[in-house]
Amino acid sequence: MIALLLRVAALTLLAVLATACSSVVPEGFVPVPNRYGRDLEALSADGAIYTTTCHISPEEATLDFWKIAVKRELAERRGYAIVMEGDLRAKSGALGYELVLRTPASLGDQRYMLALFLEPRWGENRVHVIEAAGPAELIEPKFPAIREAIRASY
Amino acid sequence: MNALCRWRAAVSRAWTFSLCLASSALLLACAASYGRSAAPAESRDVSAEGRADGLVSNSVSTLESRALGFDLDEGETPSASAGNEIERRLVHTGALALAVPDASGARAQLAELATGLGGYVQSERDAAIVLRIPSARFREGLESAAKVGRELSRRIDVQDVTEQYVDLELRVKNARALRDRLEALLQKCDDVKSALEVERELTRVRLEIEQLEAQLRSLGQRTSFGTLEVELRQIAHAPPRSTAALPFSWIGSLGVENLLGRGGAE
Repeated sequence: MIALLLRVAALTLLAVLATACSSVVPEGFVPVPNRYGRDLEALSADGAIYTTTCHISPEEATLDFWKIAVKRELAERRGYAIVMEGDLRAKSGALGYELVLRTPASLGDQRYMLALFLEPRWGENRVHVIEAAGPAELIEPKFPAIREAIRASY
Repeated sequence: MNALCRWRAAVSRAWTFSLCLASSALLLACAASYGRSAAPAESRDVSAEGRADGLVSNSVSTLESRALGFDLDEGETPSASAGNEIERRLVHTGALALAVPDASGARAQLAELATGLGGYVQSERDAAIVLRIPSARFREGLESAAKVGRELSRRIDVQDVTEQYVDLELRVKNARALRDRLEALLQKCDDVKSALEVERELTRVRLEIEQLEAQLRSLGQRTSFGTLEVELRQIAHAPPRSTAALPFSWIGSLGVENLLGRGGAE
């Protein structure tokens, strides 16, 4: 009975560890208490924000699927303008996707960076979503540090 | 008596001869003196009149090889490099028509693109923006600009203005040389009429130099920066009901609105 309980506990711990999404905080950002169910929320002193979340991804959903889905949502439906998009290779070798957008004029001159990494797992896949935003002149100089943190995280 | 007459005649001849000799010497001395003092004056007058009269109705380009007798060395071209290879001067122009969902955002994006390439925004209207992009990066700029929206049309022109540029450079150089000559000439003028004529000509040449330099600057600007006109045609955002909404709520929560509105920078 004890052995069974230990086995269940170990499996539970493994499951928890497996679902946890680890993230490196970009240089110049400080983690703050997570208020909205994000895995990580970090702020810079001048008010830029960096967050990470991960979500269940259907097994058939590839990275290309998510690329199209997020672009459709942001660029087509909400009027964001794509500034840059491309692949992002993590230090682990995982291939991700990076998208930098300009917000519609109604939201001011903001930049929004979105990165996606698809993590295949046994049973169900995960899609990691990294977001960073702030006024253009404030966040753009931080992009290298943010990319570095993303590369180190996935 | 005869002897006296012969003596008088001999004295008279000697006197006449002496007088002639003295007159000749005096004339020679005057002539030499005149030659030293008067000849340059005459030369100045002739040159002043001749040049000034000749210059009034002529353009600088025709003057350069005419009366003044100065010109560029043979084969010299201001734009030529040491290897005598002329740097090509090209004027790049292009036009793009793009369909964009947010013209204002697209304009801002294009402006950022131009400045990022070292260029600038020449003009901006609601549905169009004219960018000046360094010629060396014009193609790159055009390709990047085309990605801002859905490309509807594209036009690219490259005009070779090397000959025009070299000609202008030569004309400026020669006009400056002419100006220098005229200024030197003015210093030597001791005749008011000639001085006035040279002064008038000098004014005209200076004006011509300014005009030529302005043309040269303008042409240089046109060759240094290509002009890209981007017409923006606003398209309506995709109607939400026209496509199926994905059942992944996190996609709907993406974006600055949610990110900053939920605990970000405020």
